[in-house]
Order: sequence, then C-alpha cells, then structure tokens
Amino acid sequence: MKLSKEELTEVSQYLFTLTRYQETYDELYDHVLSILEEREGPFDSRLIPELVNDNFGGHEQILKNEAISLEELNLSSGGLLMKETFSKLSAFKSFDNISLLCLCLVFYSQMTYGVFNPVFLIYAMFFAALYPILVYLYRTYFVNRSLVKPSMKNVFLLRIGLYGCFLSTAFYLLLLSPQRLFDITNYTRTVICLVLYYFSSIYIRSFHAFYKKKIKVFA
Amino acid sequence: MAISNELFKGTLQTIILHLLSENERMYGYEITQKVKSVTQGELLLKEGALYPALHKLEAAGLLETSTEIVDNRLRKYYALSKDGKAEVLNKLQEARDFIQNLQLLLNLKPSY
Repeated sequence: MKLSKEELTEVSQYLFTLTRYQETYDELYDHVLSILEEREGPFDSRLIPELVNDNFGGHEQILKNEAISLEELNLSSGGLLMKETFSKLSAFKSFDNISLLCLCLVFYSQMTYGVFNPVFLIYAMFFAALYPILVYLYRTYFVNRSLVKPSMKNVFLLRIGLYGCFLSTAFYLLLLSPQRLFDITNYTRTVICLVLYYFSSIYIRSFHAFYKKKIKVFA
Repeated sequence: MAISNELFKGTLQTIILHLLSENERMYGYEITQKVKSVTQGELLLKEGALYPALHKLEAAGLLETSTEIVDNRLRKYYALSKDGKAEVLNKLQEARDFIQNLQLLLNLKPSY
C-alpha cells in the first residue's frame, strides 16, 4: 500500500511513543513502513499496534531490547576506549609520549623552584575529564540538533564524561585540594599532579582517536 | 510446518552472518524477508529477536553499519566487518559440526 502524508504522520506519531532513543526509533519506523508498503489493501490505523505487537513483541519488549542494545554499546565502546588508552600507554617510546614526559619534567623542575603553579595541571586534568561532556554538548546541540530523541551514542559520551568528572573530583578532594582529606606533603602533591596530568593527556588523545573511529562514523 | 523459535535462537547469529556474507549489505526488514523466502515461509524471523542480535554483532565488531535516506526515512544497513568475514567461516563450521552430531544423535537422515 502507498501511504499518504497524513498516514505517515500517524505511523510516526504512534511509533514515537514506543522508543527512548533515536537509533531504535529510526529502525522501527523504517521496518514498520517497509511492512506496510508491501501489504495490499487500504491503510487502517489499527494495523500499527498489531504489527508492533506481532513483530516486535510490544512496547515493553521494545524497551527491554533498547536497554540491551544500550548496554552492548556501552560495553563495546567502553572496551574500545580502554583498548585505545592501553595502546597509547604501551607505545611508551612514541614521539607524543616522550614529548609529554619531557613536558612533565620541565613542569617538575619549574615547580620545585616554585616558578610554576600546579593548579594549572589540575585545570588540565579537569578539562580532560570534561572533554567527553563538551563533545556530548556539541553533538547534542549542533551535530544532532535535528534529532527528536536522544541518541544512544551521545548517552554513552555523557556517561563516560560523568565518570571522568567523578574520578577527577575524587582525586581533587582526596589528594590535591588545599583542604584535602589525606595529609600529604607539597612535594607528593606535585608528583601526583604530574602523574595525573600525564595520564589525562594520554586519555584525551585516546578519547579523540576513539571518537574519530567509533562515534563520528555513527553520526 | 513452522519451525519452533527455540530452535532458532542458537543459530540466529550464524544465519545473519551467513546472509551478510552472501549480500554486500542488508537492512533489518530485508533480512527477515530473505529468511522467509529462502525457507519458503517455514522460518519466520521475528524482529524482536533480529534487532538485538544485529546490535550485539555490531557491538562485537563483527558488523559495520551505514545509513542512507530512502523514501524520506533513515535506513540502517548492516555489512560484515573484517572480523565478521573471518568469524562467518568459524560459525558455519560450528553449525555444520552441530548438525552432523544432531543427525547422529537423533538418527536423522538428510531429506535430499
């Protein structure tokens, strides 16, 4: 059957209420329309819930499947990001890592003479942790502005961003803040700052490489 | 006679990978229709089972996806990734071995 504009809107409005994420909605919409287009006879709005129940197992099943898909995406993407980070770490002798190490040594010598304030390294660490959230905001409000539902990939970015922020805040409150929980010397604080700066820099590079490979192609 | 969905479950990923190895890329509805036509309606692949399996294979890196606008709507195509092309051979061999053992266990003779 050939569907009119009003009928297409009706299908879209019904399916819109069934899914949480854009990716699932797009697949469901395309699938249901493909079935309807192959059918003979006139369009009947009662056909849509019938099709959804028969083929997709109903609203609850769709939500369950969505949750499973989101979990799969989180696990696989999280795994890829870890893999990327470890590969960057293991490439210890790479030019990037050696220059980063040199930079850390310069900061260290400057800090021991009291010339350089380690607070800038703390800012850099927070920026690295916040970076996925900034990318999430960029994608949500610029790249995917036309999407009517949240995207699973953006949800993943938000999650890892929040996770990173939680970790940085914990490090800050426990070890780096002037009112820190653990009583450590300024020298130890400086070394911790440098170590965190080193790993944050590797993390941000890994995240960027992961984003280009995995998330950007999905956009 | 329609075949029980329970028998389908364990082989769903193999079926999907095999279909994609024979076709460059396919979308969800196309896969269900292909299964229906090949089995002459004996096997009906439910979408509720198909999409989670596709997403799982995609997450495992065995499938790659691309999207295209078709008739003013977004269509997601699935294709085998490099890893998926290697895995399809393993899965098919696994299925062949399983069927062979099943034939032995149940004293089944091939119908051809």
